[in-house]
Amino acid sequence: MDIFAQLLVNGLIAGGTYALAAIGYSMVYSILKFINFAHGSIAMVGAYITFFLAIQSLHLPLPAAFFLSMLLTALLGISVERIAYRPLRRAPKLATLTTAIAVSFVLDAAVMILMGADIKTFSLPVMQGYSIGPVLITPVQIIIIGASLLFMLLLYILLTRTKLGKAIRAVADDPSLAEASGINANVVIAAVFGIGSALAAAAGSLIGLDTNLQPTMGFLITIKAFAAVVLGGLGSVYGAIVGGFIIGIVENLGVWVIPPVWKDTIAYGILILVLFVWPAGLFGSVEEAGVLQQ
Amino acid sequence: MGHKVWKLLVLLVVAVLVAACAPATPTPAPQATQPAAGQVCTVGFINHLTGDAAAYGQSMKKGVELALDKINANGEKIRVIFEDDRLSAADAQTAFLKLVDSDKVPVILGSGSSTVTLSLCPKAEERKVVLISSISTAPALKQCGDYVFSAMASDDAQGPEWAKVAEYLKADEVAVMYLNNDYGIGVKDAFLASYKGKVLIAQPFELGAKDFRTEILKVKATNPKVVFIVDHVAEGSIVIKQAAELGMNVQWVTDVSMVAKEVIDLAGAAAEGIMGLRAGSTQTPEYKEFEAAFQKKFNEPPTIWADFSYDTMMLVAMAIDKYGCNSEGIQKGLMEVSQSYVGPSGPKAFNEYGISQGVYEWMVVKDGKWVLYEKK
Repeated sequence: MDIFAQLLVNGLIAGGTYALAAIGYSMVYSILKFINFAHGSIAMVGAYITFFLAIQSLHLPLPAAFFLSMLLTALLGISVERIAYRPLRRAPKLATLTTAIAVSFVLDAAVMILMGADIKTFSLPVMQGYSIGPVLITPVQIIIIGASLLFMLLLYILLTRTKLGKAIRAVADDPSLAEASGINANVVIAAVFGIGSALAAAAGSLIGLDTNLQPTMGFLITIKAFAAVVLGGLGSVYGAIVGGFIIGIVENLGVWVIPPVWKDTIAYGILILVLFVWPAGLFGSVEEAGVLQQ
Repeated sequence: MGHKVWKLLVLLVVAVLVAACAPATPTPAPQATQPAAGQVCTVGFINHLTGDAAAYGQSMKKGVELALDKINANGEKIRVIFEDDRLSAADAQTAFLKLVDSDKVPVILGSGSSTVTLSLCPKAEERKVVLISSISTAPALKQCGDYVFSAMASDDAQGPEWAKVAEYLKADEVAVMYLNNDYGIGVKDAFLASYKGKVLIAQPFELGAKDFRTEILKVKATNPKVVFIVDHVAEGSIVIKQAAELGMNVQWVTDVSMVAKEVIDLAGAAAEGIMGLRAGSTQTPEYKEFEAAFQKKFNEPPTIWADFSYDTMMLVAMAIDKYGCNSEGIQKGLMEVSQSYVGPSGPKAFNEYGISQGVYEWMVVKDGKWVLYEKK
């Protein structure tokens, strides 16, 4: 039982970062109906910006570097959309998808050249976790779970309580109708990329705090976040969050009984099983999922 | 008219059959295109220069560069083309074909990874190109053939050395954590075969993963006092760190791959007190001389495996000196010159499998540095 509680908490830690990364995927999908495969790499860049600001050059306090990185990464996301995706907005979705893969290669290579291929670490002091009942948890892990929940709450407020949020939901619902009612789709799309990228930077930085930085880390984030998004239901932001936590928890519990070589198989196996029963994912609508087949 | 068409058809079919049945003639080894002795010989190098295991590849590149300084001190004799395999067998194949077909190299300083070297070995045998790895240790390399060499002792030796450590620590029961690839399984199996005590659990984990908490909890649940771990720097440092966070208080004993300063950089205070094996000896005059030269050139103490790649390059240079810049000569030369060669990584005599024998030192992390373990 004690071990079960610890496994659950470990799953929450992993799930929190997956969920944060998955939000950006889901938001972009709900607006533009394509999977932004560069999203994991954007998270990786965000992590490196935090590292650069806090450790390598300016020695800013970690929280300052963290928020500045979210801001800079938001700008990066907006630029990527402007340069690489907007010219292709009327092109078949496959073209945008392929471009996204190319963008991820460019970002990975750029970081590798600028920062080096070796592993970087934030060198936070390693400490044994606090005991909360039978569970051990470190301050960094509390921050990971706390920050994940905080950003999700902020996102919820943004989407439901602000004008921008309403505009985003309107464009996601029906782009032409939204534009007819005077909403500037380009501004909304830029905002979505900005918010998604900022959250990706947060996810990347938190993952980096926990398990070091490598230019190749974006791919792993992409794999997990993609599974989370499809599991939760394409286009459903809340579904993506739930999906992220489910995958994190199931992986950690699963490795307890079966060899770790199956870890990613667990995530995708769950995904396939869920899609058998709910083809649109847990919270997605069939219409949204149907878009993939067009 | 019809007769002619038939004749043509028959000819065509015969031609196709002959072409199909003819033994696939491998492109002859490229020695002919390389200049004779006395001129510059181009040599290939494939290693993980980027990616998760870049620390090893970059370090081995430095060892080769240091050796080249010595070899080319009186005019350029050997030029090395450095290629990246990113620890991927597929990338290594591409680099191999590029080096062999386009650059016509007779010898390739092979990858650090056993898995990658094993993936290249059939190609090396087929094309008759010498493939010499500085540090690949999987026992399966013995089956590779005459053109494949390794300058480090096979894991058949590392496992028993671990068993000696266990005996010294009076550990009647231990846990083992191993990387689930050719190298990790090789070391684990060799250890299990020679260790007399009880193995509580042998827990695998995956290359490239980042979250090992469940694996660690499984090991922790068996209450080991001593845990043997065979791993790479990238994953191993995270395992050590996450284990400390999860309150696992054990004596770690690592394989040769983790006795690198990167483990201490990445795992921080959690690395303090861990023990590990180091291949070769840091106490020989050859190593001291190498250490000074390395410090002078790169302004840092020798990085992991640089001594092995240095020796590999020196052996290849000696073989080329003896029989010229062609693969058959280098193959023959390596067997001969290695018998009496002693370098910074120790004596390198290749046995019938083309594999050097080795000695190990016991190391321990003390005050944030790997130092020689003092037996009481």
